Amino acid sequence: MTRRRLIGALVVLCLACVPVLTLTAQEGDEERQAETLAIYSLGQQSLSISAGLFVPLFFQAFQAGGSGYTPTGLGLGGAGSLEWGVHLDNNWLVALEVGGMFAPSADIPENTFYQLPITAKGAYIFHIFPFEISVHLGAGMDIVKYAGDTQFNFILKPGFTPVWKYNSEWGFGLNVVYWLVFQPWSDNPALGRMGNFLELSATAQYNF
Amino acid sequence: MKKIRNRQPLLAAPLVAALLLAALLLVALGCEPPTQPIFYTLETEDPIDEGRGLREDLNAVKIVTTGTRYFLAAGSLFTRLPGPAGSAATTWAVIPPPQAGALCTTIEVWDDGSGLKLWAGWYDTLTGAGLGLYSLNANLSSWTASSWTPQSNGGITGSGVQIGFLAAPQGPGPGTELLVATSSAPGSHVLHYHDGVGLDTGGALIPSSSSAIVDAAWQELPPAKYWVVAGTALYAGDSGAGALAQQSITGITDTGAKFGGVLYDAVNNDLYLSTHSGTLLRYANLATATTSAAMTVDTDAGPVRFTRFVNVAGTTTPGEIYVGSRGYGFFLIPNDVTGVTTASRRPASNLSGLYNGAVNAFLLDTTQSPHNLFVCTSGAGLWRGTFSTGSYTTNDVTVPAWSWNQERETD
Repeated sequence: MTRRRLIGALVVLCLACVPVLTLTAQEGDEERQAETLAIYSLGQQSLSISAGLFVPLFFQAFQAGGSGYTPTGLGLGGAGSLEWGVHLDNNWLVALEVGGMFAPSADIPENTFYQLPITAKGAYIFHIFPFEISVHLGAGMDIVKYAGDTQFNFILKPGFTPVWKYNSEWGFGLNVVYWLVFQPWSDNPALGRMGNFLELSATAQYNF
Repeated sequence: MKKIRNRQPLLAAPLVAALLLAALLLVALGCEPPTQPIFYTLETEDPIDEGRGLREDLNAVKIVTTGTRYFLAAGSLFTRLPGPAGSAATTWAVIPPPQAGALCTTIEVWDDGSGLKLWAGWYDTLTGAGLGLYSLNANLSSWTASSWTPQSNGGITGSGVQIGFLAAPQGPGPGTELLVATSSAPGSHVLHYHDGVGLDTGGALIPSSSSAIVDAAWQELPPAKYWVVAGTALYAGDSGAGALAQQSITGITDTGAKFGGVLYDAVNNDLYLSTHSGTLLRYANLATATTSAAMTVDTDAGPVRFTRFVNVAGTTTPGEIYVGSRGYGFFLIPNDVTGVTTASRRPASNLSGLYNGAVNAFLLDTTQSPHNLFVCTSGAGLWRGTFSTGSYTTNDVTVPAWSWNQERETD
């Protein structure tokens, strides 16, 4: 009898614990949700570091009826960047980005092509918990180097970056960025080209 | 909901500014304006490796042609036939030296009256001693060590005679002369000539020079004469009349500048001289005038050390003179009435091996179609430019006439 009462008491205790455990779990989820859902306001900052692949796409002549789209003569390369951003509100962010890339010449393997873009960037952030998707456009100066030659060109970098927010400070994602580099040549405009490239890089983002 | 941390001061701004500054400094170092836009350079770039069999870091001293075969002095003596890469005959192969372990110092093609021959100076790598001058029937298809014939003329053969310079400025045909510079000891150089009959029948051209003979040119228009440069000295005169006379040029020969090359342009009767102190000099119309125009090409590292010339006026339009340099590839001099007033560096800078090369010698071969321009370099191998009637067009754009390949083995 005593044994039956003991078992019964344990069953009642367990049943009584279910709501308590459920409530505790719900509170934990809410805390985690609050921890990972980033809410930005004016002045909050972020630092991002990115590294990944650089895919040369094609060159394009400025002049209509020109040579059109031509291969870049480059192999697959690497790209990386450092970005410092300031949030304007929960969705808008402005940033400065210093990047770099390298790619070998497909025809002369000992020659390597480099670009160092320094861009100002605007981004709009969509919040889809636990993700953020940033759609951004960078514009600025691109330092182009090849085989001892250097040129300074204008660059546009449209792209998007889905980021998984690990917590309120850290996020990890993927940059998909199109590099459009304008390289006119006043001495002979027919030699001017627009460079089209694609950056696919992993990024780590720190908010503070 | 819980907000993330309070706002922080803009601590990252100095970091980003430093990164920007570092990037700009990195780029500012070694900036050089390109001769054409970089994207266009990449777009039109061709593979430079044809699988011709030479090392890309070869020290190529001199290349000559018989019209049907090339010979290259580059330590070993190499040969190949003209034509597209891909066959054994058009891949460089070594010709055995006259004795084991010998290396070639210089070569020339010349007909001494008994057929066109390849002339070569050799030295023994074991002792360092010169072996003198040897000749070879250039029209054979293969050779052995016994194919070489030592020259029996006194002074240019035998152990201890170093052949430092060979040239046939009048051309390779019979009835012309072969210039042979010998050295029996450091600082003791002699310039001989061979007229097919004998050596120095009218006396040595330069009986004694403390500097090595560097280059020679032949002026056809009266009075016919050789122009020879050796160290800081410029000589002029004809063979058969004793020693050449040393010349004096105010501002050139009195400055202590060493000469790097000499060229006579028969079409315009102009004489070009280059120096190791960055000076290019042109005497316009030697028959009627003695005026000269000179310019100096300087770099951050000091004056350009110019070397030998090549006249490609018959190939390019409107006509150009190229002059080699030590470490800066070669320069183009417009061959026009304005004289030596401009010199622009060549070739396109994406060909870094040649663009930064030390040029020893050129060979313009107009017997082939398209014409070939070979450039021998120290440590950057042998390069060949292929020419196509003035200029050629690719992707609706006219581009420079020379398309360059390095005559090296396949990577």
